[in-house]
Amino acid sequence: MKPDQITVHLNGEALEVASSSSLAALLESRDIAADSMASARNGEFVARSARSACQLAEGDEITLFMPIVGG
Amino acid sequence: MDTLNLYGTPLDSRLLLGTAGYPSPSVLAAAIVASCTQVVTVGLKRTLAGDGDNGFLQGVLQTLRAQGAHLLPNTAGCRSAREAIQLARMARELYDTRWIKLEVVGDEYTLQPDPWQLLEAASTLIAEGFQVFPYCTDDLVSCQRLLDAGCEVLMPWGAPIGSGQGLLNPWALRTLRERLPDAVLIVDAGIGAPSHAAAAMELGFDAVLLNSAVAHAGDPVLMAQAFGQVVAGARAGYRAGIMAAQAMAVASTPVTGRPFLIG
Repeated sequence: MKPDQITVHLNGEALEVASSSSLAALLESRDIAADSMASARNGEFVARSARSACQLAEGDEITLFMPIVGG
Repeated sequence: MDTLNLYGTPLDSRLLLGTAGYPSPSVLAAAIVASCTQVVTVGLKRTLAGDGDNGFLQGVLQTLRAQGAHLLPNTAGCRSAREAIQLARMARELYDTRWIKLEVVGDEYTLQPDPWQLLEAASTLIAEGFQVFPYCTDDLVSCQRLLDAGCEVLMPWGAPIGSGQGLLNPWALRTLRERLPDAVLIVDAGIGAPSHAAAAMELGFDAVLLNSAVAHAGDPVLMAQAFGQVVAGARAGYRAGIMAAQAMAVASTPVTGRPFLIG
């Protein structure tokens, strides 16, 4: 791993990203439309409006949630 | 006009319908229309690679827009207040609504709600401006605590989720109605047949929420229509005042004694 990179997990998948990456940048790099998913970092909700300011850290677990049918 | 009021939203229909488990998106959409429901429940799930729901939800959303109905997202699958709070926040963002059907399960076998975690989650979410619809048991005191926390609607179970057993404890449900006259009470879970929904409405419940009974019917669209009609009819029956049961026969035809004094 390059010194300026960190490893984060997106829905369980390990990814190497620049250490200065934001959550918004991560989603953009994966072509995930900002309003199509809800996001959490390490189990805590991150609002759409807060993703740009959400600086990723080594080992972060990013989880995305989508709307589905339900009872 | 007999209007159901859910956190200030007036509704004509007293049937809330779940959207899971239907054979196709078109059947789901047709069932929503046939039921005349104005509230449908939806969910959220953790995204995995290649995930999707085969267009079910998109079909629902189009139908809902046409019907002027409302979305009630749930926190299904949560086992702690912390999980449920996070999921509720996500639901508010994704579905753009303050309504949340709060589910926090405490037992894997019965899927019984955890009253302590439920109360904790409800208190936090209400403080954040949510309008909480807690899926709870029929325990009177825990229901009272949810009302104390600011819930205007309670959704006690009739029977375990998806079991279709109907109202397992009518006494407890009747007691809730009598002791909590100002709360909006909705039987959620366990309804299997239209007669179960009718029994809930005749106890004075304000509405019923069901999913599997329609989704798993041989003809879901016809069953949706049946539930819509039964709920409306039983509500009218409750409002009309159901006669008191008698232990023995009481002749209804006003004859004078026996017709002939022979034999």
